[in-house]
Amino acid sequence: TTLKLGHLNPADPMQSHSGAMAAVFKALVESGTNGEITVDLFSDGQLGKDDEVIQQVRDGVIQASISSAGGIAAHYPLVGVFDVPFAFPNIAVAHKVMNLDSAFGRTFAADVEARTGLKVVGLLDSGGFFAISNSRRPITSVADMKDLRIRTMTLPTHETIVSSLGGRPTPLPWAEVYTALQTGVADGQMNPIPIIAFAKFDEVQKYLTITNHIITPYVWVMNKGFYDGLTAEQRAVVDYAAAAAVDAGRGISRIIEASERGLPKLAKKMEVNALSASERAAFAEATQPAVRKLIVDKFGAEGEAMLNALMTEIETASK
Amino acid sequence: MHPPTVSWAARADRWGGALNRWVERLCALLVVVLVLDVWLGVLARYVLPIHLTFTEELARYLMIWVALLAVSCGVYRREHIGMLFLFERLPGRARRAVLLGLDGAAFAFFALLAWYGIGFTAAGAKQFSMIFGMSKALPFAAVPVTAALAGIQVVLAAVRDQGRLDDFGTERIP
Amino acid sequence: MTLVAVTFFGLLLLGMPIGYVLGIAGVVGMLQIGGEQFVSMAPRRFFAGLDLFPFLAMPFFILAGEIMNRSGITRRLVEFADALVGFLRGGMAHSNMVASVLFAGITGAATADAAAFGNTMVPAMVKKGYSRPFACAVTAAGSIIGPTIPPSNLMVIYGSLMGVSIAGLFAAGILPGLLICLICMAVIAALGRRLNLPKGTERPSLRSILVAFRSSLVAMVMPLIILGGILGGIVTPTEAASIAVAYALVIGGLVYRTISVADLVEMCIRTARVTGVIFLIIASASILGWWMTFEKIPQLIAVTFLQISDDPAAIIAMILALLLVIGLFMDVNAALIILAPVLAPLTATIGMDPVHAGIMIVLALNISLMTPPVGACLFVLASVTGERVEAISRALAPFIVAEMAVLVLIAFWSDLTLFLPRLLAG
Ligand code: NA
Ligand code: NA
Repeated sequence: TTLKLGHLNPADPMQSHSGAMAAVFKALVESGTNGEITVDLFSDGQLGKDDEVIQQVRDGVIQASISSAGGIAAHYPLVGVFDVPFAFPNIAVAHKVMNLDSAFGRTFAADVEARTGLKVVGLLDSGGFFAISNSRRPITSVADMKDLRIRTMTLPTHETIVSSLGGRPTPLPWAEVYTALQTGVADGQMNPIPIIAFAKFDEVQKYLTITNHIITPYVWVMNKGFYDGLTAEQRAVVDYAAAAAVDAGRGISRIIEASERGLPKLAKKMEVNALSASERAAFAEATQPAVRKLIVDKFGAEGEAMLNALMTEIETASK
Repeated sequence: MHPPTVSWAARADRWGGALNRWVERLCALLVVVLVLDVWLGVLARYVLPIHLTFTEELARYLMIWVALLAVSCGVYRREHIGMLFLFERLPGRARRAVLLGLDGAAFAFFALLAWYGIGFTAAGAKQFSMIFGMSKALPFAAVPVTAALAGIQVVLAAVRDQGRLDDFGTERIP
Repeated sequence: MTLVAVTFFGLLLLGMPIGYVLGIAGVVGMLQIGGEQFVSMAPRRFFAGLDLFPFLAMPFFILAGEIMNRSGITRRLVEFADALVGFLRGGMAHSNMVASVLFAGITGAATADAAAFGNTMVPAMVKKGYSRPFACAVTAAGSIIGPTIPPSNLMVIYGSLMGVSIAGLFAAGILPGLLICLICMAVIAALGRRLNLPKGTERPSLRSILVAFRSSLVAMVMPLIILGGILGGIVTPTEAASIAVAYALVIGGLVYRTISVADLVEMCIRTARVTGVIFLIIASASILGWWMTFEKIPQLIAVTFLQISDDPAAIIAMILALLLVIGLFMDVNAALIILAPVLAPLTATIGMDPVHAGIMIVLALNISLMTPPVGACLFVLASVTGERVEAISRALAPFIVAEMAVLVLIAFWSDLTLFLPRLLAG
């Protein structure tokens, strides 16, 4: 059997978390099944946009995809509950919660499976907390956000975060962001550190503020028919290979953030600052109610239940 | 090119023309909306006191609808670009047969797009765009609807052109 | 793979429109892979192939061109250019090239350039006595200056994909872009007598230049406004195309008062029709492109190709040949995403600077935009002007040869690309 796995990032396992996950998974599955399953990798979003590739998994055209929250949202909008700003106190808690081993992770995976028929084999963060970069001024207080045009993805939750801080959300397609930041169509943007480094925004942005305001998940989905069609032994191999691959992915994300490919690289060209604890509280106060309201308005009781489950898990994990 | 000279071909020509006129008017309307939408997006960034965040996505979907609707206009007018150096060196009779074969294949292609496009659109009904949470069925429907239109125009154009009784296609297909 | 190739070339030679051929060949490939779920990919790819905001630049520049032509903006600009360089043999062709360089600062995609110029410069040149295939060829040859001089969509993709400085790539593209302009002007000059390109009878007087200048003044503000809008950080290059529409409307409708509402409807319809022809090709190409990706055909060809020799010069030559060949069948964005990760490590092993390698790869793919059977710029021009692909291709041949020569020069002479980035990096 062949297992075709698509993901969005470079194939080099040292360059991206999904590259590392794919490489680890391929090695473990092929050796663990003694070659019964061949894993065929498609990196760099070659097979299409993320939401489209997930559809390919649902249709059985390919067997698995390591997907971003943006792609998942088209099939499972409730993934938006992760967008509550300042919900996670730190990265260690995010590791515990965005994890198939947590109670919340199991609830989430079961709900995705029930609604989409996709088997979730891995859940992790997309590469760390979001930071905000801009070309105007260092952001040290909520007031500094006033009237900054911050590029966001076309996601209502992200737009609400920017507007509730007094900024102007400026949705632009990814292909145009670099030029838009260079010419000043947008003053700034928000993304995880590895993505800011990867997209070379340090070439066109002066200030970087470690806001740690949101952290979005990556969801690794597999065609359920394919998974169920494996022998029990093969399934066991796929399960442990995916779990080990997710660990590798989390590890490489932290390494990228901390190494010459992440923050230290950005700090060479950009002025970097972090929010103080009291400012963090002020940011949270400004943004959290608006986003929570948006989630409840949009997803109703289901959204509220999922949101509460997430917050409870975070509280448990923080102790 | 000479007008069709048999009555059924002339009728196909008329039907195709009438359908095409309506599609073209719709295209013109959508182009205007598209231009206004992109202007609105720029204005919202600087001038208007509101945050409009759907303009970019709406522009993409309008663009796709316009372009795909216009595919059928290109079919009616035989404007789609091909390499004709060999075709034009064929004798008239062979040319007519080849054209019929190619039209048949083109019809099959559009029919396939239309048929599977229905399933694609139905799947889109369960996906959500970021424009007021609108379902993606609306943009996705561009594929089956316009492919069906193109398929109809392929048939009408084939009937029309097979019905020309003169020395078939001495001129370039217009 | 054979079946797909036979389908593709068979239908193409019989004269089937390329937009159908690409789709049918792709569907045949999907049928060959397996079950119904693969064929049901066709409409999905058809849609996804068009679902990109930067594509909007094409219809907008076509519409702006329509308005400029109908309202007399084009005529006045051309009269001014003619007053300046019309006395030279092939003067209009030269000014087309120079204008391409200016326009390159506005656009990030060659197809947008081809759409804008195809709808304005080509008719103007034809009116001045140039053959239409030649006017199209000059425009096509100039269109790849657009994505060579920054901004450039392909360079942004390459830079973030391969971890290369985008600012460095942008700087590195400037000299090659100017060089392409110069060499194309040399080709025009060399062909001038043989093709009997038009030549004005008398040298312009200062007075006639001033008269033409005054009459075209309002029209000449257009490029300034668009360029200012981009460099001033008001609009993105794609949105700038919509500003072009707005300005043309204001000038044509309010200042010159030469266009009516009925005209506008007709222009919108023509814009839609031209866009439909081009976008069918793009949409269908993404069906065939997906099949090629799924079967890993570019990588297969690359591996076979690159096993032949490990001599650096041979490797560069093979990379160039490979890019030009894959670019014959596949959309350049898709080709770049698939091939860059395969080729870039190879250029590193022979010691090429990553920026240098990036410029070489991007330029090779850009040149493939002008080569038949699948060359997007070729189709844009054919669709906008109504000229035949074969005729344009023939007239284009000397330009392609010249640009390939530039490509080879760039590949083997690294200082040409790296001079400016080094200067800017201090
Ligand atoms: Na450019
Ligand atoms: Na080509």
